[in-house]
Amino acid sequence: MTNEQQAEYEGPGWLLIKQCLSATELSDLRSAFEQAGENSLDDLPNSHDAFIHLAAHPNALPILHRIIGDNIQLHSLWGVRCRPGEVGIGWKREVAGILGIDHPNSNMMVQALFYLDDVSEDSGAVLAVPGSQRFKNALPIPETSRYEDMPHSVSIMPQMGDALILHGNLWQARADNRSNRSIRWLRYDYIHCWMRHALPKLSAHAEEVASKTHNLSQLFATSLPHTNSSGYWGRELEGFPRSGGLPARKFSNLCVVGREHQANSSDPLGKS
Amino acid sequence: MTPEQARNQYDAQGFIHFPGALAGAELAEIQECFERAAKEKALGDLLNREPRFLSLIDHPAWFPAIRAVVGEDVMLRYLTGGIIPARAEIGSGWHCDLSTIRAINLPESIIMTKLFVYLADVPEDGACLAVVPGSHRYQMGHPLPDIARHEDMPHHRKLVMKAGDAVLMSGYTWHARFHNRSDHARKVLESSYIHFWMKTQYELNDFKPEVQERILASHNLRQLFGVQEPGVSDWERRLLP
Repeated sequence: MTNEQQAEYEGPGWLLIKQCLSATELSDLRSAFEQAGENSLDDLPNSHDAFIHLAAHPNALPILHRIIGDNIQLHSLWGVRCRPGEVGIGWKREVAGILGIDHPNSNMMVQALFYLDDVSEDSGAVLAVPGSQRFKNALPIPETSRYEDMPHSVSIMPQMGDALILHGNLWQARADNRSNRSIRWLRYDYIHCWMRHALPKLSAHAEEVASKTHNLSQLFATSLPHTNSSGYWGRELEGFPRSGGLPARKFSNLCVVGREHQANSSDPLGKS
Repeated sequence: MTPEQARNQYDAQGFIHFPGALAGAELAEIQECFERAAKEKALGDLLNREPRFLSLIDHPAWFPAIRAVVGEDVMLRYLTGGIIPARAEIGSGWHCDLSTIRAINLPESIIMTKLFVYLADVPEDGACLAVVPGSHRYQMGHPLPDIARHEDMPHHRKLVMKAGDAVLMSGYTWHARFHNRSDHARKVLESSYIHFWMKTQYELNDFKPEVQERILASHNLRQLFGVQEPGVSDWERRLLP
């Protein structure tokens, strides 16, 4: 993640990765999307391996890893086909139901939307209020008669192959599709490894594919049984520099001190 | 102490002490169950070996405070028992349980809170839990001092306990368990309370049928043990009043 990308994400609350997908990847994903059919758009990992591999796409995962941190994991993934005439979705904060968290100063969840078609202003564009990810949890979202009437909102119009990264606390909506075209995208939500995911139950084949690499197994949570407490709070992707997540913070060099018979340690293994 | 008072104390200090939370016949019964489980080396599987412990999960002495602190989406992560033998130099060192958490503003968030229920006295020279009051509000990255001994931590408070006392402590509070230099074993029940949207250490099938039956019979116990409800998002799960 470059400094410019970080500034873009942390300022308005979203980041557009232009041409995240190559032409070949885009073509393959469009085919896989159509093969999956309407009834399987919430079961994509079991319908085609491409949807598993996309979770670790080299143009997106380094950015997502920088935002969430080393313990990144997938929450869910599904496909969306927004048909002509389809009504949009009202203003919301995705993480509003998550209690106990200072969302304006945290990154609990981040969305990655991979677009398979061009989006225009009249075809179900994402609407967002820039900087609203910093609004206090208790600030009510005002009622508006039309989605587009939200003060200070802007339309985001990705093109096919782009990926749109959205802060989970951003005020966002989706406009009606008033065009005569269907728009398709793939939505991947990323969270922390200590949070529950909402992925479909993986078939034996999908489980095997998702377990092939360390990073995929971390993202799909295939490697650790629920009873294993050692990896509960902290996990680490391979091949990435360590990430403390965003906003950037310092971390104490020492994690355990004062044991008298043992040297002070940077290894956080202390027990109460 | 009302739940609101408990929440205020927790917000200010990072821990709450409940003197005499268990007493009399109830304490004696729990102590007896604990000893039986210890004898069977089952302190890590208390709920199956001694279903009596199930009643402690939402016990009126502390659960209203836990609910006020964690919120309406509270869930249990685990309950376990532990014994630190007398004259054991196995203190834990000063640390914060959430030091590996990333991208969350911990001083203003409540991710996890721990409950310790003491079943034997812990004297001044025992394996006391000690805390730095208010440290749960320290900015992330505030450096732990490079000290050699537990006693060297500035501003710490050592919690001398009586059997039946309980302590609720933020997972972000700096704390330590001192070496046990007394002639008394430390006997404690430790549980961790988190949010329903987090991973629990339990699955319903981990429990024997009679325990499952008791859990399934109650909305709030189903939530506390992480049993998902059809049609209800993990992010929207709430206790009943």
